[in-house]
Amino acid sequence: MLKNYLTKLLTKGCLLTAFFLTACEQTEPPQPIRYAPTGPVSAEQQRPGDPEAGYRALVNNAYISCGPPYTAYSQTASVPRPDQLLTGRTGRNKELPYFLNGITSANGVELVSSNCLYCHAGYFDGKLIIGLGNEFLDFTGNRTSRSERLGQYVKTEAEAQQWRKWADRIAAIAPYITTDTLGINPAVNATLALMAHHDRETLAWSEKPLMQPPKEKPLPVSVPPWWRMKKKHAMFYNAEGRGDHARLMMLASILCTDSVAEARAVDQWAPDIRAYLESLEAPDYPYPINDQLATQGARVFQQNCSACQGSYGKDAYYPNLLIAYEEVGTDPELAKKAVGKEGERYIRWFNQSFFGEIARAEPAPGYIAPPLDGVWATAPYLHNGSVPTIEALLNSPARPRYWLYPEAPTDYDQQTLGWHITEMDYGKTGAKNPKELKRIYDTTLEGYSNTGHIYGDHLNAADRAAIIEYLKSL
Amino acid sequence: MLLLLILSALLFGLLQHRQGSEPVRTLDQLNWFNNHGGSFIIPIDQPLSFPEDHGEHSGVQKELWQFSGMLRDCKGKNYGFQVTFFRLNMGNDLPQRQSAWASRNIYWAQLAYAAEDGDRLILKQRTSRDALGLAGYLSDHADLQKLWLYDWQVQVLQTPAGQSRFILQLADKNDNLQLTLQPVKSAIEMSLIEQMKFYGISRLLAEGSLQIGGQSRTVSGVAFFDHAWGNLPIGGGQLVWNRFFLQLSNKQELVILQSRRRDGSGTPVHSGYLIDRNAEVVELSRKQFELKILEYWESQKTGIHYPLSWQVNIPDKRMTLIITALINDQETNDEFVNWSGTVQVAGEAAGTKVQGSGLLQLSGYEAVP
Repeated sequence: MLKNYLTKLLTKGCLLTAFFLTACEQTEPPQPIRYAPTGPVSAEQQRPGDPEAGYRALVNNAYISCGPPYTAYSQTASVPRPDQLLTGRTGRNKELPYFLNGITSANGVELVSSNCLYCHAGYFDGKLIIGLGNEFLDFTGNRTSRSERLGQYVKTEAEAQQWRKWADRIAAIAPYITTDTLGINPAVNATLALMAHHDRETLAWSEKPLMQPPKEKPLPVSVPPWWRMKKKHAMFYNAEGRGDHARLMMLASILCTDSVAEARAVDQWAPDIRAYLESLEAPDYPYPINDQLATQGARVFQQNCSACQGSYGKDAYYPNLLIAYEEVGTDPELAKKAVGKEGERYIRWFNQSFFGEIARAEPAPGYIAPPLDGVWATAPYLHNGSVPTIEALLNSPARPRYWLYPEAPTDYDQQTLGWHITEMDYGKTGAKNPKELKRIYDTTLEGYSNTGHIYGDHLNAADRAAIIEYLKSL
Repeated sequence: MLLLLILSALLFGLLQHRQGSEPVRTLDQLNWFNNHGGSFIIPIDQPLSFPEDHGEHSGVQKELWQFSGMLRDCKGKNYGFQVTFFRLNMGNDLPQRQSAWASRNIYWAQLAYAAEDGDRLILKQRTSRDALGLAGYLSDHADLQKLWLYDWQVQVLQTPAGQSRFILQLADKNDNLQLTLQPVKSAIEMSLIEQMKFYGISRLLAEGSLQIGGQSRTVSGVAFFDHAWGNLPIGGGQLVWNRFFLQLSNKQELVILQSRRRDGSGTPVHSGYLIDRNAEVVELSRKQFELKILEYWESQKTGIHYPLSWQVNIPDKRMTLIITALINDQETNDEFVNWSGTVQVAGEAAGTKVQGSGLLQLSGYEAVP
C-alpha cells in the first residue's frame, strides 16, 4: 500500500491542459471571449525545432523547476527497474526512472522533478512506449500527505527551502487533482488551479488564489497519445489549444515557474520538444494481424469512419474535424465547461499572459475527431476513458454501465482491443470497500457518461470485427 | 577500517554516556551512517508474510520493533510500558570476516515504564553489537525467532494453531518485565514510503510480571506492536510528529499519524486507521476526523511544550475521544528528545461510553525561545 510513494507526487508534467472561466476580477472592461467554431480546424504556423535536441531537453531539462531534494528522494524511492531507464540522459538523469529529471535549484540543491513522461509514457506488451498516455495512474489519494511527509528526510536549510516550495505547490493543487476513479487524469484541473495561483502578467506565485479556482472534483480525462500531434492543428480534446503548440505545452511548467524570465528561458527550447513529439510514430501492433480481414475492414472503415477519423496508408488524409458535442453525443461536460461562464476567466488568463503572446485558448463547443494511428494501444476510449474497448465503441448497447478499472496494462484482449475488465452490476454507491470504490468506473456520474459515438451501431458483427482487425494495422 | 573506527567511536560514545560523561551523540552518528553508510537492501514490495516478517530483515539499513501498552496489577494500579529494539546495519558491503569480533549490526534497546502514581518515566537502555554473541537475531526454525541484546530478549513463538506469540524478557538490576503477548487481531500494513515496510498489530493481550525496585507484581493488560524496517528516518527532519496508538474498551483501536512542519508553514496532515472489533480496517482520510489540542505541558528539563491532552472527533463514527497522559513526564531527552508515553482515553463511540489506553509519541518538538 501507499506504493510509488514519492514518484506519484511529481505529477505536474502532463501536457493535458485546458483553459476556461470568468473574469470578474478584471478592472478594465473585459475583452470579449473568442470561441472556435465547429467544423474543420485550420493549420497554423509552428516554430521550427530540432527533434533530437527536443528529446534531450525532454528527458534532462528543468522545465518543471521544483521538486523534492535528491537526498530525500534517494532515501525513499525504489531503485528503478532496467526498463524504466532511458538512453540519451546525462548526469543524475542516467540513474533516474524515465518520469523524473534531475535538476539543480538556484541555491545549488540537487532536486528531482517530474517530467512530461509521467503521464505521457506507458507500457504495452511489457515495453515502455514514449508518447503513449499512461492510463493507469492513481490520483485517488490526496498527495499532500506524501509530499509533506517527505520532509522527515530533508536535512539542510537549503534543501528545506526547496522542499517547502514544492510541497506548497502540491498542497495548493492537491484538492483539485484528487480523482475518484483509477486511471483518470486530473491535469486539466491542475492547470486551472495553478493559473489561479499565478499572476497572469508576471507569473509570480501567490499562496492565496488570485482568482476563483476550479471546482475541486476533476472531470475525467484520458491521456491521448503524443503521436497524434503531428496531424492535429489544435491541441486538446476540444481543440482549444490554438496557435503555437510549443507555447501551449509549456503551460505545464507553471507548477514551479514564477517569472516571465524563467518561462522565456524554457521557451528557447520548447519548440525542440514540440518537434520531437511530432517526430513520434505510433508503435506497430505487436500481435498477429489477419491481413485478409484487415483489408475488408479498411473498406468498411473507409465507408463509415474516415470522413471524421481520416484515411491511412498511401493516400493518408486527416480532416481535423471538430464535431459539436450535441452531434457526437459523447459526454458533453468537458467541452461545455470550456465554453461556459466557468471557463471565461481561464481563457482570459491564458490569452493575456506570456503564454498568450503566440498561442490562444479558444475552445469550441465540441470535440475533435482524433487520428487513429496506434489507437489499439490507447484503451480505454473517448475523451473520458468511459468505453473500455473498441468493440464496445463500435456497439454502444454493449458498453458496460459499471466496470472495474484494470490496475495495470497486463491483460490485453486482442479481440476487442482493450484491457480485460470486469463488468459490474453496481456503481460506486454499491462498492464493498475503498479499493473497489476507486476501481469502479461508473458511467452514471457527471462527466463519466459513455453515450454517443454511435456510428458503429448499425454495423453487423462481421463488419465490426473487420474494422477492429484493420485498426490493428494503424 | 574507517567503519570499524566509527563503530568503536559509536560504542565508546554510548558507553561514555552510560557512565555519565559527555556523550558523543548517537543521533549524529546515526545520521553519519545514514549519509555515508554502505549498501543496503531495500524492502521488497510484496505482501507481508508471518511469522517471517516478525523477525529480522538482515540486509536492510534499519529495523525497529516496539511493544507498548497498559498493564494493571491485582490492586488495580496501572502501568504504561514500552519495549523497543532497534537495529542499525553498518553496510552490506563490509568485508566478510571470520573473527568472532566482527560486527555488522549495532543493537539498541530500551525498556520504559511509568506507574500511574509515579512522577516520571523510568528508562533503561542498552547498546551493543552482533559480535561475540552480545546481541543478535536467531531463527532456528519456523516456530521460534529470538532477538536479544545481552540478556534482554524478544521471542516469537508459533502456537500449534499457527498463531504467533511474543515473549518479552527484560531485566535490569531490580527491575524486570516478563510478558507474554497474544495477538487478538491480525497485522495491518501502514508503510509510508517505498524504502520502508511498516506494520502494526493493534491489540495483543498481555500477561506476566513487572518488578520495580525489587518488588514484583502480576500484571495483565493490552498492548500494541509495531515493526518497521528499511530506510527509517533518523530524527524528524523538517517535521513534528504526533502519533497515536489507542485501544478502546469497545474492542476498537485507533491509529492516527499527524505531522506538521517545524517552521509552522504549510498545513498539518494526518491519516488514520480505525480497526473495528472484527479486525476490519477502515482507513480514515484527513477529512474524516479532526484533532484538537486541549492542554500543553512544559518539560522542566528541556523547556519544550508538549501537547498532552487531545480531543479526537470522527463524525462518521460518532466518536469523540479525550486523550490525556497517564503521567506528564514521559519525555526521553538523552539522544532523541521526544515524548513517548502511555495515555488514557475516555469518550463516546456510536452513542456508547468508551474508555481506553494507548501510546502517544510526540517527536520533533523544540523549546520555545
